[in-house]
Amino acid sequence: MAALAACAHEPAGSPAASAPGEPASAERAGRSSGEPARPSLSPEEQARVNEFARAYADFLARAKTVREAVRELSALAQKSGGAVTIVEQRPDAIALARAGRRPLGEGIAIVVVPLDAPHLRLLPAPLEEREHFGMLRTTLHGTLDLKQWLSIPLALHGFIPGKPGLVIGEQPGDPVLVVPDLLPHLAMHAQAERIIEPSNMSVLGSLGGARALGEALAARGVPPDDLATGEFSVVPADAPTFVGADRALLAGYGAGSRALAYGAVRALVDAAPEHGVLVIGVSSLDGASAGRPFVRTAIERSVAASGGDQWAVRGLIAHSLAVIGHAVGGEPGKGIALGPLDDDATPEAQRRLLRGIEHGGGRFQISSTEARGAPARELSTQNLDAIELGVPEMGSQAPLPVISAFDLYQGYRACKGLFELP
Amino acid sequence: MGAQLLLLALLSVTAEDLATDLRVFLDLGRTAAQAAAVARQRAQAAGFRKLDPLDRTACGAIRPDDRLLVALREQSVLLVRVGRQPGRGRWIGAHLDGCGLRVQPGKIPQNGQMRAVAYGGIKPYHYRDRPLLLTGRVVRRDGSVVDLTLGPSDGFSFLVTEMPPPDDHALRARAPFVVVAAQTAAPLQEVLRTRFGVREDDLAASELYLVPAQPTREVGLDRALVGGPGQDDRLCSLAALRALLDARDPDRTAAALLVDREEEGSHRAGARSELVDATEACLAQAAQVRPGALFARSQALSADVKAGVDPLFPQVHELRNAPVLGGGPTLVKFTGGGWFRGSEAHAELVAAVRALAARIGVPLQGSLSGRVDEGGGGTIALFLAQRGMDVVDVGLPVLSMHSPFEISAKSDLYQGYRLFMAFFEEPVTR
Repeated sequence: MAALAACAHEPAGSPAASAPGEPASAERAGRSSGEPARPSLSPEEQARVNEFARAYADFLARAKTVREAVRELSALAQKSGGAVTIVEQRPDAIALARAGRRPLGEGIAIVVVPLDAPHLRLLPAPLEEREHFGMLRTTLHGTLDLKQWLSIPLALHGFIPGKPGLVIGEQPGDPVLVVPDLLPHLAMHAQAERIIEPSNMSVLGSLGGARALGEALAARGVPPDDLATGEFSVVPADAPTFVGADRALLAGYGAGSRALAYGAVRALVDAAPEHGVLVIGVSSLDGASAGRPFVRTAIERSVAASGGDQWAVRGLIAHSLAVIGHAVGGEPGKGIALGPLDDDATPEAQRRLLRGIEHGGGRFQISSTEARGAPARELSTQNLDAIELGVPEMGSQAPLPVISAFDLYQGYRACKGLFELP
Repeated sequence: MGAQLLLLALLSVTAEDLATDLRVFLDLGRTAAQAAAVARQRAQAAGFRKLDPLDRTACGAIRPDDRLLVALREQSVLLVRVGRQPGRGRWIGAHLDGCGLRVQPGKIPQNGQMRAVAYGGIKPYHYRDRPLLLTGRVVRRDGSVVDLTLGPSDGFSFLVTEMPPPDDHALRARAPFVVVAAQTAAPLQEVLRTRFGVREDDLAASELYLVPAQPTREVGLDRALVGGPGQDDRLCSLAALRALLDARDPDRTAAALLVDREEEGSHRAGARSELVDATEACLAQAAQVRPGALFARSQALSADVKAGVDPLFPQVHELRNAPVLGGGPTLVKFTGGGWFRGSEAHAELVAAVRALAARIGVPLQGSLSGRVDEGGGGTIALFLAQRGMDVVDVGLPVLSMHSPFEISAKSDLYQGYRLFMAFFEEPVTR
């Protein structure tokens, strides 16, 4: 904790760094009390942080799957009144662009963000009967802290091609699903080695058996055939919630992994960019290269839209900076976290990002995470400087990760500052 | 049988009605004291009057058909309907406390991180990353009592960020949990002061719990289940409460004993409370029998939830002797792990309850507390037996017991309610 606190940086233009003799701001008072790391904000600043976090919580409640996130980000972009264009939209990916004052050849700022979050995915033939209950067999999508997913209300989000989507469990009057957990009285032996095996993560779908559950799904427009073709995600049913009487923390499904996706698109809508900006949402950054083809496609499309060819694409990439926006460690409440800076970007690129963050008035910390950023490394092979930037979260594999509203807002400021950097 | 059908038609209470009532009861009664308050309100609305069992005159004035309410402190409640044969009794005991986290009394630490300890046997991981509600009572320095609840309706929740390691094989823990109340102490202090007039010094005398903030939900696409915290044992408490309120003209004196502190040893005003004995003595005096004689001429059901067969861990159950959700109330010949807070019912009483259930068409399931040597659990049965009552454990099956999202079947609650009501109404046969 102490080591991380020492890494918290103060932007040059912030009130805390203002010259001596100026009226002491709330933030200065906070710092003089020997608590350097915990920023206290002016009421106006706090109100902006709170408003932003509330809007983000609404976004998270509506965007629990990748497809829903694409839909919500697309809707958000359309609020710009045409300044932001949708370069490419796929069911599970989206690229948004905004022209800057400078020509494309001088490079652009690219933000690549993942849109997924860990969840349970129904198997193609999920119906089974266990001890008279109707159950749904699942597989794990992403890394889940399995015990944290037991005994919580779960919702089912289904996408079936050519049909309206299926959502069960998100409205207060909806029934929910659950993976039950063993009572402690009888857990002595059965859970001594491991709380639950991944292959045992079946979701309780009905008191009636498999036939009753199949009929209940069919009655909601999902016959067994559609179970085999569609995408069915099981996610926590609860809406995000603020934590603590000061509402300084936000607990919500996907809160950490999608923070910069939301922050970057909000900044894209609000900014008056100097260089061109491309915000690319991909389904996943897992497996290093998952999002790479789409990133390249999105760059090519945006260059082609302004009449450029492959030479223009390569030239643009050489002068551009990519920010990979996902959780990279750091301590909540200390600002947006930069991934380890020593590897995948040149010092020039690092300085450009830091200047951008400072320009936007954002506060940052440098993460000491052990995890090396595979996504940034992968993009750096494209002759693209890539730096990871993310909102610190607690419990990234838990159903309700926790982030700080302050950090969330710093992510927005960092993006906006980078976009508007002269 | 014809009379029973007529009775059912008159009843017009459906499984859905009871399930809705259960959800209201669970959402209003987050602590034993709150659930006791709901029970008192329901009883008073149904014509029950308060009885002080220590008041000799009041005890002398008790008459058949009286409806009496005895508050065992604020946390437990004993409801009595005096029978036409007041020297005989039928009791149902259930508990109002549920597992959760109890806040350590005292000041809020400067870093805003409160300390809480387990109440009842909980798995620590169930409480991490789960939005929690702060609720309970504070007695201010001037002696005034404040009931406070802080949670989602105020726009925020509390959250456990550090949990103690499990300290036994059942994954339970006694060491404190760390709970975020704010980034510093000040915001919570301010809310407590402005909303409730509670100053920090006042917290030294408090009983505050952190319970899951989520409201109860229907579970399953067939909506046949109810999920939510505290169903152990507010599920049986509600069945007993409704059965006592709705029963018609009980022949024997009918009593529902709904108590706190079962999960922690039934102390304070729990099942072991002297106030239960005082009330019996009071009723015995009115029935003109010696103290203890009413107990001796009473049958009792210890109504506590039982572990329904877990579909993911069937191996811990003795499957031929384990209840399934939706299969009806459970009848337990003996409880405990064979040694821990165990109780064994007389075969005569087991036979009588089975015959009663068969007469009204309520399915009964056999139950043990898990396979031999997998662990087990006790109920308040032994505290009723110690007073001379003839006791058998009859309960309702739940899944995920002791977790913040316990699951019960609507149909089981309905059948439990019918059985309990028939138990109260059963006439004395010559």
